[in-house]
Amino acid sequence: MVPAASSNGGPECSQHTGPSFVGAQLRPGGATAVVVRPRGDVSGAEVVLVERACGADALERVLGAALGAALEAPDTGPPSGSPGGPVSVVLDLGPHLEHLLHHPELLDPVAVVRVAPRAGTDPALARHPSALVEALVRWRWVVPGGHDLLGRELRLLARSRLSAVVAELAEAAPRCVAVVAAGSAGQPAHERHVADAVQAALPGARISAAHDFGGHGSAAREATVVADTALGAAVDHLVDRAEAVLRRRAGRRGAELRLCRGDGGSLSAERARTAPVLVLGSGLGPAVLGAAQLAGLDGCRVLLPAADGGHLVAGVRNGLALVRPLVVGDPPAELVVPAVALDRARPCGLPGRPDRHDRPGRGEGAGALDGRVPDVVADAEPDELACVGAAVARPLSWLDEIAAIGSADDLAAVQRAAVQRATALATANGAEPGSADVVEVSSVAVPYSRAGTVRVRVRVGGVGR
Amino acid sequence: MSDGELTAEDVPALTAGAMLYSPSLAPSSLETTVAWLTDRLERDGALRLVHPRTLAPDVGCVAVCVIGSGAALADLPPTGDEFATAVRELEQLSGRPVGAVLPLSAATVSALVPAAVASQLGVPLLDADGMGRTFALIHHTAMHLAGLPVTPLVVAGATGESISLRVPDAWRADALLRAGIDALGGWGALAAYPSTAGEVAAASLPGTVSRLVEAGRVLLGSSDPDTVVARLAAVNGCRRVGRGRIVALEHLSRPTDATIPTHPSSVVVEQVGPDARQLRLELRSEVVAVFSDGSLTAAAPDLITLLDVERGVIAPLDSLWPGDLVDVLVIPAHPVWYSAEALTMVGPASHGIPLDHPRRR
Repeated sequence: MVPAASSNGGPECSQHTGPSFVGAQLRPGGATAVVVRPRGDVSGAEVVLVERACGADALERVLGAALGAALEAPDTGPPSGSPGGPVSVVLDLGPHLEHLLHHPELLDPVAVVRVAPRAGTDPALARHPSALVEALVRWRWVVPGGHDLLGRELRLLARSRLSAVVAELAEAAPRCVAVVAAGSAGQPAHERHVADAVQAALPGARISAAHDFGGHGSAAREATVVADTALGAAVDHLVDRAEAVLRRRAGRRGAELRLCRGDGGSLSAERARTAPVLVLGSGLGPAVLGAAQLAGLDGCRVLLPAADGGHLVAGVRNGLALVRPLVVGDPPAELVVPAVALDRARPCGLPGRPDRHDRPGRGEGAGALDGRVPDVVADAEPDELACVGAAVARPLSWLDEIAAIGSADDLAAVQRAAVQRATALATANGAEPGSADVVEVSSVAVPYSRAGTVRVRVRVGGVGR
Repeated sequence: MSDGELTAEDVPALTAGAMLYSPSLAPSSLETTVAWLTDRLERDGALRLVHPRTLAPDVGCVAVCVIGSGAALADLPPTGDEFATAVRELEQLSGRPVGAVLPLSAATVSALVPAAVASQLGVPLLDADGMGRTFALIHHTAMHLAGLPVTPLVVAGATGESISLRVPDAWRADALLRAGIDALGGWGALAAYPSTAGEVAAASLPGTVSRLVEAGRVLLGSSDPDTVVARLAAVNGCRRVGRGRIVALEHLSRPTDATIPTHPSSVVVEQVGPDARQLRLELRSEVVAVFSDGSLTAAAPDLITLLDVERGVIAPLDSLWPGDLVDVLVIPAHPVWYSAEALTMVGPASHGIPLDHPRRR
């Protein structure tokens, strides 16, 4: 049997007595909001209201309507909260922000300061490999300095050159500055020094530094900070608008705004203002979770209709979507922030086909796979599914680090430390203190590196406050 | 790729094939190098890709690769002059001008940079390499087996520094270079095996660059894993050992020795289907052995790689997660690697697995 992820939603409200959650999505040309509530007797959620609007004030209209419905609904209190507590509102800005990234004329241009032992001698290596990222950049400088992957200094920071760069930056007066230093994920000292110097010269500028996001690969780290600083003003403005609606409409009960992350989780509005790139890449990600929630499944494979025909496929495990690094543009540029892993489904991978790929391949004997996850074919509108996924999104964090180990005990210590940092990040993203738990940990040896070099990735999820 | 030429349009297939022959890095780690090579071929035009025998026997040749960690290169990308610097300095050391370049190992990022440096230098790229895949040490080559000296060699770093080296015994080269590579930031541009086209024609493995493009086209042509495996079988004898989910990633799972980079680790795959065998993959920088319910099924020098079943793409070893559904693929190496001498150098025992290679049992 293939459960379908559809809703009974519409403008009408159904009778319910549980707590209500609001999920909303802003996309080019319109906005949608839903009110959902957890099912009382089974897992998952059901939709009790769907509101759509177009135009410049679409966000305000759908949020106002959904919030009003949530406030009017009887509330016995959330499972982990008190009756009559603030209404949870989670906003998905992903589609709107991705639209902005493809229209650099709508964003402030970015100045990039690289810290590396030497500047590129080939023009292709002096710029970013992605045309989409490069279109956001108007100025570039290189300050000699930097570290290796494990944080060992490769070159002293060239302070005289930094002074000259800062003087040129002050003259150009960009509003958005991205700073990325070689090896800053392992040792951020040079990057911090440069960012501080730039901030001192340009106190009003929005400065994004790569070590704040961790991750690996200079191209991905640079793409991340360019997008982060470029989107800052837009996210600030949109959060202001949403918070204004909540202030006006939530009354004494109040409402708490969170934003949807690209990995299908959520983060606080304040955290989104300081790290707007974490909000990028949502959209279809929360739709995956929304489809799983409507089907009442914590573990499943979700098939979403693709805009150009066929289906996209994603996995859900322990109530969370499977992730991989976010990519934007075509040809794709990878960022160091996670996004829900969506792939085009092949016809032979669709439900009901005898050769679904978690069966053995041809020539190895056919047979059903015990314990395989069920399929969910989403037939509700993608915007509605995204809003459902947003409404139930948990505060999440993700960490991707390189470390050196000498023994199994070292590895355990590195993993413990990474989990602690990821837990702190989840709490900063809005998780109730003490509620965060490790969702996934992966440690792999870094090929062709000094023995003991490992890449550690941790994903932690919590319960929203 | 038309006969004897490599163009910018061939780069995606070359890259996909390079990942098949060494799945050590995620595609994103190659992003900068791919963009560099593509840009060079667009600027400079198609690159001549020739068999070593088509050149005059006395034309100077040099083998080029990235030595060290591709992950380090992704974080500290080349500025653009490192490989040309290494070749030029090696010319001075060897006293022979370089008229052609070949990959030391036609796989992963080391399949891409020789094409970029050949384009920079305006010389042809040889359709041949020294390994036919990637092995851990720079003397693990067919050229070394044939008696060509690995040195003099030059390593140039993104820091603007370079190291030159001469060793009487080839196996000492890696040991002497390792600390220098760390100091250069974890990777370096290597130019080694200064030789002639006649020597390379006799000692290298021919056709290995064009084979990457051919295999890459198979990978890019379908995302259906069954189709990919069947088509690869026709290109390189690829076979599937099994399909299953990764259930564990283990570290330091065998004794570590200091001669080979990257500590031993293991991946456990629970095979799907009625027989439900457990596949245990032993890793260093590459997958070096596969045990099926405790029995050695394949081992280096076999090329063992993982195909992400849901996506139909090669699964990079630096990005594996428990729960991933993978096909375990085995591709035979060039026959030169199954001799007793070669197996001693690169076979399972060289990775701390004291068992005979399945072919020799």
